[in-house]
Amino acid sequence: MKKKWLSLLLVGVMALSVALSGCGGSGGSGGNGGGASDETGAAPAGGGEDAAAAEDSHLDFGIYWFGDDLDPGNGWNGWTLTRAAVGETLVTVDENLNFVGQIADEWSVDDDQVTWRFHIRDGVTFQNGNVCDAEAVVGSIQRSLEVNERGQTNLKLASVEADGDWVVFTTEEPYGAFLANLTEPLFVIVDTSVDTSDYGNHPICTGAYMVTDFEPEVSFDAVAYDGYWGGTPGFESITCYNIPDDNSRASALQSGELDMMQRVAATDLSLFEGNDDYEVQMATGTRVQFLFMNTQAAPFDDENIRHAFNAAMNYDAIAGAIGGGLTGVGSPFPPSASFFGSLNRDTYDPDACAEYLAAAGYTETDDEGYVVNAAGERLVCHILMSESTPLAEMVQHWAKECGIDVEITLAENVSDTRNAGDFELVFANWQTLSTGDPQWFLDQVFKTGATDNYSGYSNAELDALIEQLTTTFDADERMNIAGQASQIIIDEAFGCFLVDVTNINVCHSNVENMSTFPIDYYFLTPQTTFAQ
Amino acid sequence: MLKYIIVRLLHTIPVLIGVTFLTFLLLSFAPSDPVTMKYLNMGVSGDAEVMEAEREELGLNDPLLVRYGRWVANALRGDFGESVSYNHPVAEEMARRLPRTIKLAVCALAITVVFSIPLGILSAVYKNKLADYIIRFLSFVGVSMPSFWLGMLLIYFFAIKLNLLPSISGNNVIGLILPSITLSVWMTATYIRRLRANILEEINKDYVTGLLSKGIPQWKVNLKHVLPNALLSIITMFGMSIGGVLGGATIVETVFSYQGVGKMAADAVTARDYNLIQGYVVWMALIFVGVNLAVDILYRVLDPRLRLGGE
Repeated sequence: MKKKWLSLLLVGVMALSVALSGCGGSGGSGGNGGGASDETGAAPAGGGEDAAAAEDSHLDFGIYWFGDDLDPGNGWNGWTLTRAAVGETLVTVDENLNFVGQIADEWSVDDDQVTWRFHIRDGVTFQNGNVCDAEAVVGSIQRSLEVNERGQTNLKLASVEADGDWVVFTTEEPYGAFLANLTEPLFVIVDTSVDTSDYGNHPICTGAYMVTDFEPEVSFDAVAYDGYWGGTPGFESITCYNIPDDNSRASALQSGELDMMQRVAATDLSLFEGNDDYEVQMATGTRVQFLFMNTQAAPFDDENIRHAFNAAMNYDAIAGAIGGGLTGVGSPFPPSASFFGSLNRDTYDPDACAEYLAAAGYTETDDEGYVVNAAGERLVCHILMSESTPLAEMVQHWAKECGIDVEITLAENVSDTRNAGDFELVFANWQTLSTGDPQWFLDQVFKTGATDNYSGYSNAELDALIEQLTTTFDADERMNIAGQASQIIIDEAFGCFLVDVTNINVCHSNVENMSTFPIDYYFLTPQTTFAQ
Repeated sequence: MLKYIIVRLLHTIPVLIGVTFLTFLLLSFAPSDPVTMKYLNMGVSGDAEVMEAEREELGLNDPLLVRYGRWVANALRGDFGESVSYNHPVAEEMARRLPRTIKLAVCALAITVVFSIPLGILSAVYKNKLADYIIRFLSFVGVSMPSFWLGMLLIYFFAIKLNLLPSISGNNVIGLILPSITLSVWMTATYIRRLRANILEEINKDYVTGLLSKGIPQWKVNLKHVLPNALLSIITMFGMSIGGVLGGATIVETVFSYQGVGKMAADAVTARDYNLIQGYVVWMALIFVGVNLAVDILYRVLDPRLRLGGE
């Protein structure tokens, strides 16, 4: 009797298993990303014969963030469009943080310092075939200002109008960061002469690829725009996937579902480095991980303590221990800033640390090796952060090496405490060279009384330099001023600047011309293609 | 029965008021707000005036009761507000993700039923035999295995090594296989163990001895009497599982990049997306109230003791 039970059950399980598998298999054909791809990583197997035919010209790539839709006017959604070579701005920023013309091929600022003129490149058309002229650009810029509150904050614009082939911007006041801010993908140029209500799904831009199908949060498909002003794009079609999880993105690249991916986690880097099947590219980014130091309260109101803390940090060792291509900085700006090499940056110096500590009254050590003052009190510093990270633990370790006791305080409400100035050290991971320009960070964080000057920094010379940036329009000169400002910040120890965040991208070795930019809202370019 | 259903449905109203108000209250205790979190998540610091204007526009500066009252009034009209993370109406966002979650839930539950019932029976019938040992060992492993680890193992073997299935689930059926298996393994293992225990308990009852002594074959007793009784308590478990999986599976959704309501809810909490959290809470409350009602009705149909005992 039991044998009969057994046979019936086994047959039942097998039949249902087969039925389920069959059901799954039939549904997979024809879908994008519907199956694992072959070893070339060109196209998912789920695409069947069609996928094989398109193997040489369809790119599947993964990025780590999608906005809620594809309208560049909404939130930061334009970042997705520039990452996928769908959207373009008047001017863009290249791998060396130089400004490069995109829709505009020439620009200048008048002597009055408030009038900016941009010449619109001949032959630029929107992906619906309409001509992208000066009037069209004005319409697009006005739309960005109307639909997104960041627009006016970024440009400080009094007016924008077309003058023949030129677009003329007038700012409310001299504003040196104007050109850099105009590269922000919020100002991706779209065709406003047509109905824009569906731009969340199908934006009409001027880039190399034209969106054909968008599935929110999941992926979008795009095809090469044959009227593209910059020549024939490298692929006939692309699919851009939203894969926020680092491990999942790496797995998809390994399985061949992706040909190319943006941002590899430090822990996954070893999967690809030294492997001939992949190409790994790194670029120093524009973010710096740093600690705000509260100069208005003990112990960091004492400049000696600030310097001692900075000298205790072994920046390179911290970066090396965390891995993932991080670099120790010791400066408010990352190595991608042109003036980085000329700075006299903070470096690991235990002797100097001991001298600063002695100057601050910490001359003895207790049984556990921590420095103490004449009253026998340890120097205890508290780092406020929302979650413990290896970086914080490394800071704790190196501070201890020099006798400074660091305690990590975890709090969910870091921002309110920070904004109220009720902290000693607070962790931050910020874009310091946003849009390739230093003004925003200096303006917001270091100017006396600035919005994000949580630490209460105040230095008249620094304020004057930041003010000078407002009326300086030459890119080199701006960087020179930012370098001087950075040196003051370092000399006054207005913060502890630990590591920069490196942008790491990986592709299969059959992909050519993958680019890795310091600014991570650029990725796919029209030149990226498969090797012949 | 109809009266019973109507009364139970009316109970839904205080439940919904209770959970939504409690959620509102708890969210008001949470630090930061959606505007702060939005800028923080992008790694940029927003302009103070712009941020304040956004708060004013979202009504975040109003007192708690005013905000809750406004939300209830709008929700009664079917307007659950706008999600600040997605810039879409909450109802639209939920409607976009729910079909995906339901698809994943149906597949995972189907796998669970298909494998757990036969294997549970097999394990009980072959108690302390090789088949039982193997099934018990596997179910023990299944119960103990964290879903994120199982998911990554499946990706490693089936997507990376064998190249048979995609690691990105996408929105097609083949992409559902690995996440469904991952989600169902723990449930399957739990059900096998529970069913085995239930069957063994039933088999030792006097009525089974009585039936066997009348000469009724063992398989007929098992099929007609033991199994239905053993499955009765499984129905409650199954109801809870339905509620659980329809609420989304955050970890599985993250590992397989599956855009369901589980990950959406987790992200909404991180982003302090009040309206979206409220929408999700309403959905969860409706699911559990509905599933509990369905289970109770099913119990009354299947269990004569409840049916004969009246309302």
